Amino acid sequence: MTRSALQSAAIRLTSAVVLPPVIVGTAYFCLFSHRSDYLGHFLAGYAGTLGVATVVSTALVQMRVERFIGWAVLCVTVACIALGGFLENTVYRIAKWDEVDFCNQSLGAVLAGLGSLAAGGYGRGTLAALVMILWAVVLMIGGYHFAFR
Amino acid sequence: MAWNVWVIATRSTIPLSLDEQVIDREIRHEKHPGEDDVFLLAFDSGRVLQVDEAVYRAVAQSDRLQKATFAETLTIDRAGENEGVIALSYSPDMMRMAMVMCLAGISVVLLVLLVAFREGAFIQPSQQVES
Repeated sequence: MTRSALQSAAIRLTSAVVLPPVIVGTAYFCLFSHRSDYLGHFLAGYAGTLGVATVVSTALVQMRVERFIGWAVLCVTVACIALGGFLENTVYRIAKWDEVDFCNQSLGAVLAGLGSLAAGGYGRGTLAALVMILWAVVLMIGGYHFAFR
Repeated sequence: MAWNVWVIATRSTIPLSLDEQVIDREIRHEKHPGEDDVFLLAFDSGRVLQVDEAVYRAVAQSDRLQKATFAETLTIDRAGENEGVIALSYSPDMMRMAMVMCLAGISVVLLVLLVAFREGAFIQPSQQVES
């Protein structure tokens, strides 16, 4: 990869999958310091969706069926939102079904799905995919920390 | 995003119309008791509302609550006598959530534009960057 291509990939990945969760997450952190679980749910929804979308997109590239990536990411995003709703209503249902938690994690999932698409081909090389999955793991750890601290 | 703000707004009861009797009040604890408690009012209609703590503290079991949609006052009728009218206000969390959702909305729009302007999105095979 040439230096300029590497720079383009870094800029695209940063603008697509780094800045959105950092900016929105910082807003949650600053404005809802008394409700860190809001940030936790947002980060968890983002991380889970980004991780799965990256794996699916990379697998489709390897299978040379890139034309389905848009629809696949859409399906992954919807599935992650549904999984989040299921978990919120079962495992994590403490006092009651919390619509705000569900909204926050779904917002994270939507931003991650769009980010995955916006990263485009820059997010589907092996190295880029590894970076995105590592980023998703970092965000998931952060989400777990803020949701349960 | 709008739903997120709406859910928090309804906890003040301001957007709702009420003409119902409270048959039960309950506080449920979340992960951090005292910080993220859930205040519930059950009505004779069968409806259960999560409300802000101020609303919960102002009403008692068997109270009849009356208000019009988006009215910022709540009339409390206690045991047939008018207990009074309390002023309602949105919780600070609602404004905070509105600000976060505005930021999230801007992020969504920018990402949609990024996807839309990406050459060949949804149509042509994506460019794969050699790593």
